[in-house]
Order: sequence, then structure tokens, then C-alpha cells
Amino acid sequence: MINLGTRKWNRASLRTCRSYSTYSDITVVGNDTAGIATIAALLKTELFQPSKSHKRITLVHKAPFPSSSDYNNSDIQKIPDQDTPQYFSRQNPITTINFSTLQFLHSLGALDKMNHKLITPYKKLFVNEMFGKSYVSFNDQLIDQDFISQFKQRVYNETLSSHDYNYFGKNSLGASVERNHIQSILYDMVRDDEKCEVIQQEIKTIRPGKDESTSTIELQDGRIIKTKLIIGNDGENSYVREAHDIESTSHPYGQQCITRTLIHERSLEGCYQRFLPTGPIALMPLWGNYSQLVWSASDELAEELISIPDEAFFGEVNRKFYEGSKYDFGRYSEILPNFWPRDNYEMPPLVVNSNEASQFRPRAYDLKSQSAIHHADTRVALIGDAAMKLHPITAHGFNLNITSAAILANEIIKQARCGGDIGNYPFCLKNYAHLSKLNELQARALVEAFKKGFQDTFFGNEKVGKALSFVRNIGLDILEVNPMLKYDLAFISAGCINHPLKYQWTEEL
Amino acid sequence: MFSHNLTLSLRRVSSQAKRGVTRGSTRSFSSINEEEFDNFNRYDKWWKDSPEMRPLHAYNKLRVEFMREYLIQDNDGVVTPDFFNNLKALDVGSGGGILSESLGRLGCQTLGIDPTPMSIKVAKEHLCNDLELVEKVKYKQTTIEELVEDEEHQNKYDFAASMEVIEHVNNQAEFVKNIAKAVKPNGLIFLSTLAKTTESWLLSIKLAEDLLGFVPRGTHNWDKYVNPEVLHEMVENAGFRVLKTQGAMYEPITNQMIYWPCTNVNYMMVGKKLY
Repeated sequence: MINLGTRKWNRASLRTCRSYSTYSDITVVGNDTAGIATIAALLKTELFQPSKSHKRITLVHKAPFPSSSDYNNSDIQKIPDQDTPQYFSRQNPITTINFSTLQFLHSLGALDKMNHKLITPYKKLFVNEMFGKSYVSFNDQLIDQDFISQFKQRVYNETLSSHDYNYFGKNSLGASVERNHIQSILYDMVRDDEKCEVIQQEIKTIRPGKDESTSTIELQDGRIIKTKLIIGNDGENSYVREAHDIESTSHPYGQQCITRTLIHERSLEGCYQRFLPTGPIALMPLWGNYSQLVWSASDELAEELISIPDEAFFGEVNRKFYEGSKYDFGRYSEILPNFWPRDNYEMPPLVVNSNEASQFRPRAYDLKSQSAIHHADTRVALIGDAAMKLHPITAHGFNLNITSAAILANEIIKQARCGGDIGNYPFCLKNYAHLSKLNELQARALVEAFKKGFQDTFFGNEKVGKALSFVRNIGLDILEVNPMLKYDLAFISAGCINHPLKYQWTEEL
Repeated sequence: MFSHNLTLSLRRVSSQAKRGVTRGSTRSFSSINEEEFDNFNRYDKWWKDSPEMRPLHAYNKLRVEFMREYLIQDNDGVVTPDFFNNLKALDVGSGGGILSESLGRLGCQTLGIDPTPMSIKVAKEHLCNDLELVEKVKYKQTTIEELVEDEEHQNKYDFAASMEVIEHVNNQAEFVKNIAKAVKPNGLIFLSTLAKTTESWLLSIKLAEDLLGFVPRGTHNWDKYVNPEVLHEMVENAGFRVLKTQGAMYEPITNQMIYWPCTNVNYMMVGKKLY
């Protein structure tokens, strides 16, 4: 009897020993880049100094992060001169980042740590469509073209924004970079900082804090973290979102996105995007003769493209870009080509087949729209894919997530500097929730406009679709000869409207 | 029935408190205004997210920003990680503890004093939600004149703040002098109030209280507002040099308090004790 009793007591004591609890002001859950970026920004400030017993920022993640050493090894340093197939065969997602994102990374000091040879800035962007001959081209001379644009640039730069937009070459429109590259650098910064604790563990339960108390996170090993603010950074099937009863809506776009690294006959001048009836197709320049293909296509077409031989695949890509307009506007077609001269449109260089090219396999993934109803609530903020997921048609997703990270970090720092409660919804997180949602809705509207506007039929109606494409052609023509409008578009697509104008962490005290 | 009893008992408590505060001291004056005392002793919604408390919470952000700026400036612009931890703060008229908690979170050892039992009760209850703050922030139900009678509290605090309080007290000049007694030589004093102008009457009483209901009705009494020149004189007479008088304005659309170039409505003042 006595033995049994002792054994029981021992077990109980063991259990209590194992489940010790720690405290942290902010706990970020998950692997997305945006959450890591938020922490990196918070760590740049004088705030969140660790106390004797605990650190004030904790990152809890399950999946390992990519290693930054992959991007700094000597083989890759040679990429622009010498091609290294090993690198490309990893087939990591490549993303287009706009100026605001570059600026954000620069403010964190992350851009300086990245391997600049793996960031390809592009200075030109060509957009056209299959139903007509109109096109729009953006280039780095855009701003030098007329005095009104120059004036606008000055006004924007001097009044609206304090950022230095010329960091990455003059007037670059953006850059393409591997997403893991950014993530690995940011993760290194977070891991090496003594103000932050990194725990690689799975989460067991989350008990959301009521209005005024702290939230509790229990990890698989029995550890308990009490925290004022949880940042849900755990992707589209977010457990943080679920635990806080924040609803989310999702619908499939009925399309698949095909990505593949291609080799061209010569290097690309810029980005090329073409609207096809089945969805947009785009080429993003990488170093050398390489490019990244992003092609949104219907499920059937995607399956077919994945299965066909390489020769046929490359042929198909070339055909999609070079195929002329098959649209007949009747007698108007005679007027349209004469509207404005169209001689400076550049076709992308041809895709060539080689042994090296066939090492890169095409990948397809489902396109899905997802959106959390609220991006924040008491003691919780959602960021990254947990908050929103968009169609890649406007290359918004990643940049918007970074913008959200900047907004969230700004709000938290502001609140902490005023001695406020950082998990408070009405006085801190509400601002983030509203701004982030507004940006999402803008982007979503744009995506829908592009998707609906560039189809051959308009809600199934062919005649309206035809009329629409006629209007669209004229619209593109007007845009093409109007640098003022183009400057505005470039300004919007650089994220200058949504992105915060001031970063709290770079402010001098 | 229960609520009736509760009101009765509360009234009893408050009258006892008032007696306790005024009796047994050799002071010739009291800063307590009876009407304001009853008004605030009934008020327990300091921490509710209601439209009537929003401006105050918004103002709190700005005033802590303002205080932080001047505290850092006073330290020659240097912020060491435990700069705020070494500061002792006094919050006179702490109410529900909105300012005291913020100062505590910055790291200051804060004492919040308020004569009304209800405010102190609300403040203490709310403080328990943040266990780290319990060590930083203390509350005491007393008045400033009673506090500085105790030698322990004289010349003790690195800075004292009495934000949005002076328009609710009697004997304002004496009130400022008593705060001065608690502050260390070379310490700072932060005061904020409303100016006695037509604009402040229109905005803070007619618009904010009567028309829009941003502020609970009857909170403000225009007659007790203090003009910047008058407050300036009070602060200088109490032994301070005024460093800055900063206007502020409530912006209801984004629910923010912002710095405003003129001091016609809300304003804050910071002074440095000379001796």
C-alpha cells in the first residue's frame, strides 16, 4: 500500500516538474515570413528588454526554417557568371517583391545580409493581352519622359514618403527573389538576437485570454507560455485562428498555378505578362538567361501541361507569348491598329530546350482564395496566409503580407512606447485590423477586376466579352501613351499607397 | 433591492471617506470639490471600451508620448535599457489608473493617488490583471495635501503628473504647490487641462458632452478651466521653470489625440523644478 502511494506521489510530482510555465509579452506561432518580419522589426527597437526570468518575445514553430548558408555558399556566388543547376533544381518558390518590401527589408538591415546576386531587380514590365494588339510597357525611363511625371515624382517623394526609393537602382519596378532566401535571413536575425526566444515545438492547446488577462499556450512537451499577444503566423490552416473562433472564408479559383524555371536564348529585359482567356501567363527574369514562369490555367489544361514532354511544353509557352491576336473586331479592327504606332513592344526571348532545361520540373498547385473575417481580436493578431491568401495575378500576396507586418510592428511599438497594453484590441490591434483588412479588400477588388475583365466572355456572355475587349484595347492604348497615368500605376504597384510611410523602429528618439 | 442597498452603502463609504480625508489634518484648505468627488465616486467605467472613454484612452497615448519625450530629453536624450526602471513617478488624481498603468509599463515605480474610494477600487481591481504591473504600481486613497504632510513623500519623486485633474479641484494654486513638494529638485511636473475659451466651451461641453456624448455629461465645469497663462504662473510660483506648453486636439474619425499648434482647448504643460 505504502509503495503504491509513493509511486503515485512520484508521478504527480514528475508531471508538475515537466509543466513549468514561462511568460512572454508577444508569442509568434508559425513559420510564415510575415510574422518573422514583425519580430525582426520589433527587435530593432529599444523596447522588449528581457527581464531576469524571461524573454519578452517568443517564436514557436514546428517546421524547420530554411538555412541561410544555402544562399551564401561559394557556388551560388558565381551564378551570374557560371550557371549552377543544383541551385535551381531545388525549385523553391520565387516571388516578385515591390519597392516597399525592398525598403522594409532595407530598414531591418536584412537586405544588406542577403546575397545580392540572387536578387534580380527588373526595370521593365510589359503587359499585353491575347485579344488585340494593345499593350502597356513600364520602364525605367518612364519618369524621365515628361515634366508632369517628374513633378509628380517630386511631390510623392517629398510629401508622401520619406523612403529612399532609389536604393535598388534608379526607378526599379521591383525584384524577383526566392522566398526562402528572405525567410532564412530574417530567421537568422531573430534567432541570433538575445531578446527573443525560439522554441521548435508543436502546440497542443491555446486558451485565448478573456478581455484583460493573458492567453495561455500549452506546448507538446507540457511547457506553458503565458502571453499578452499571440500572433497567428501559422499558414492557411491556422490553429491560432481556429482557437480564437475567428471565421474564415475560402473558395477555390478553379485554376492551377504552374511554375517552372526556364532557359531563354538570351537574357530577359524585364517582366512579361500576357492575359490569355484561360488566365494570365508571366515570365519573371532571373539572373543570366533564366526566368521563372508563372502560368495560371484551368485544372484540365494544367494537368495536360504537366504531363506533356518538355519540347512540347516549351513550344506551348512560346506559342502563348508569340501567338497573334485571334480576335476580330469587325470593321473596327481596321481603325484600332492605326490608333497609335506600336513599334516598341518587345517580345520575350524564345524559350529553348536543352538538357539543363529539362532538369527543372514544372510544378502545379491549386489556387485558392482565403480570408479571415477579422485580422485581429483581443490578444490575437493574424498575419500572413492565416489572414489572407490571394490570386498571384497581381503579385500582391507576399508584398501585402510584408505591408501587414510593417503595420503591425508599427502599432505594437507605438503602443509599447506609450506604456499601453499591446494585446488590447480597441486601442492597439484595431488599427492594424482595419488597415490590413482595407489593403486586402483593395487587392481583392483588383484581382477580381483583372480576372473578370480579361476573359473572353463576361459572365458567360460572349458579345459583352467582345465589346469589353474592344474597350480594354483602347484603354491600354490610352495608358501606353500617357506617362502620367503610368506613373500613378507604377506608384500604386510599388505599394506606396498601402505601405506605412514611417517605420517606428527607424525613428530616432 | 440589492442595488438600492449597494448605493446606500456606497454613499456611506463615500461620506466616511470624505470625512476621513478632511478630518484630522491641520490643513487650512482642501483640494477636494464635493460635487466632483460625488460625481467621480459613482463612476466605475474607466476601463470599458465605450465611446465616452475613448477620447481619454486616446489622450493617454499622446500624453505618455509627451512625457516620455521630455523625460528622455531631460536625460540628455540617452535611453539606457533600465532608464525608466530607475524613475519614481507620482500620479495625482489617478482615477481608474489609466495613466499609472502606462507609466508602470514603461518601467517607472508609480504611486497613484486619488481621494475617491471607487476610483481606487477600480484601479486596484484592474491592476491585478497584469501580474508584472503589481510590483510597479501602487495606489493610495488620499489627497496630495495629505500625502506631502508625510515627510517620506517630500522631495521623493523624479516626476509628478496630474493629467486632466486640475480642472476638477479647488484651490488650484495650492494644489500645484503641494505637488511641487513631492517632486525632487530638478524633477519634472506634467500638467494637462483645458483652457477657458469659447472654443473649449463649444467643443468640450456643447459638442463632446451634450451633442455627441463623447464624454459623460457633467464631467466638466467650464468655470474651473484654467488658461495657459494662469497655469504658467501657478507652476512658476510653485518653483518650476516651464519647459513647454503643448496644445492637443481630439480627432474623432480615427479616434486619435494629436498635437495641435494652439492651446485654445486641450493643452499639456511640462515644468522643471528649480530647487
